[in-house]
Amino acid sequence: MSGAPDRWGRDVGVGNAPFRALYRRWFRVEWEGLEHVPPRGGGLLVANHAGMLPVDGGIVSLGIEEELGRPVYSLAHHGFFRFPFVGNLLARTGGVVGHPDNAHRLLTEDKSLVLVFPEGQKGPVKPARERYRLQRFGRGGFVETAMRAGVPIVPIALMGTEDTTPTVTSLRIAGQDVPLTLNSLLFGPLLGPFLPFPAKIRARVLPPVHFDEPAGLAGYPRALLMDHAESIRDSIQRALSRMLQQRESVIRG
Amino acid sequence: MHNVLVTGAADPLGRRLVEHLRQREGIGRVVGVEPATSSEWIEGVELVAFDADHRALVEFLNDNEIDTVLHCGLAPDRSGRAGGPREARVIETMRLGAAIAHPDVAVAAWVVASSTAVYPASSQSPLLHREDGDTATDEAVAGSLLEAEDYVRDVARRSPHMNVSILRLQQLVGPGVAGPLSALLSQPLLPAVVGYDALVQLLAIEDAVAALVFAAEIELAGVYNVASVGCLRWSEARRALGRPSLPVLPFEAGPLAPLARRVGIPHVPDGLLDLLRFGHVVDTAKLASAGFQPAYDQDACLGALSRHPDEVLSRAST
Repeated sequence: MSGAPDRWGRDVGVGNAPFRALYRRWFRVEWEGLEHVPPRGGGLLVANHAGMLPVDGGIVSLGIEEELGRPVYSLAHHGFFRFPFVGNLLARTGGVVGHPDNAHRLLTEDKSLVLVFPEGQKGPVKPARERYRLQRFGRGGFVETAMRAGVPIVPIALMGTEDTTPTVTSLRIAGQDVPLTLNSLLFGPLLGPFLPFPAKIRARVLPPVHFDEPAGLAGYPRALLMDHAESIRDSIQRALSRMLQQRESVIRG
Repeated sequence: MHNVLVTGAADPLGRRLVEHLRQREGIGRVVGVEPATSSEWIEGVELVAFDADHRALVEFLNDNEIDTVLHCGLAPDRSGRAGGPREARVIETMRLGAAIAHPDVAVAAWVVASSTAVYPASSQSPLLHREDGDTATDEAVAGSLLEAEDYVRDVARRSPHMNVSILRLQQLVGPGVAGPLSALLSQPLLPAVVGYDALVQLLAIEDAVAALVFAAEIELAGVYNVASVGCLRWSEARRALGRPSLPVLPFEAGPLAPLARRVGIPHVPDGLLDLLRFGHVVDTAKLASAGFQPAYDQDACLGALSRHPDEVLSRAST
């Protein structure tokens, strides 16, 4: 079933079959706390980020669409959209350039669910010793986005994504720390990122955070934004730690 | 609005505007002008010198008792003609502004037809460009337009009795129009940039005319985007026109462009590649909340292209 793409380029049912197989059989994704996702209206989904390919974005999108029937748009770095085919493919599954105006429009005009990863690139490229430790959540920009749009933030803790492409060590290449994954070691640098291990993935949705501040303001106090950002990061970290404690094995979950 | 001056009157938009105003009730005198240095001469269009001391312009405005000026001479591809010398048009705009702001002149409304070319087409752009969003300040064409717009804003500030509006017109389509996208869509074989399918947006010439008249009538002030209703993907546009497409690589033809054109290979003209990769759509909510509704949608705009491909082709090749 494929209709015409919407203005964002999202096309229901396109190219999902192979990813669905990955989702169900390889990663065997399980959800908890779905009742915390608003059944209608805008909402900013916030999750921890890991894994070399944007697999976690796809997993959250597909999971929520399948379980709740609500489409999810993911904010992605504009760099991806510079490449032929990549941009189109991302857009078809709900990927949107991470511009504040786009986020605002999706949340207020379309009243959609929008997914962001506040760790940004710091998530996937963190060193091995930081396994399952959330990196800094930026300067609270995502909190401002939610406040300005007058929508709640729905934190989601993702367990297992890190183990699909685990970082073994970091190589210093051209002044940058480039993570070396076990996948790249085993399958080579070209294939490695595209062959994730079959770690069991669990997604736990935490209670939404509603803001008292009025929507639509030009700016919000920086200290307030950072406080909220830190508290949301903390709640995801604690949920993640609990999930890891209950995990029996990486593959079985 | 009683006695109206239209600049850029030799181009499709200016001509259509003059025609429309002359048929409109309540309008007195309608004068179409081109700068005296212009090579275009069309019957009925007066030539006025846009001199540095703007004396000729001031006299002309007063002799004709002009109270409304519609300036379509700034952005040639939005007035319907394929691009012209940018510097000259910026200077003409400044001289026109100086004349209009002259204490002896009694113009109440000045509407400037600018272009959506001020907005960048890039992967970093938002889906819809808003009037207060980022502009492509370091790009040549956009830079010139923005310089002219800045000057227009200065005039507005110094003349609080006058209502000045800047309408950023989207890619124009219509009989005789030779704008960049219009010309591209009129080729018998349409380029399809491999790996991309961006959103494009057109503006029917009738909607452009209506918007300019609207701005003058209600004495609008500020900057407004203008486009016909909706937007569409390049692949949809190609399908709707029913023309075959040829895949092109996402590189500019550059030095090979003249050869490609001679051989008939559809290449993407320089400056349009990024538009076809990333899209170029503007948000028209601001003008809508001021009370303007375009009458045409994107399908109707494409319809206009299907009917007049030859006319546009012959003008585009000059």
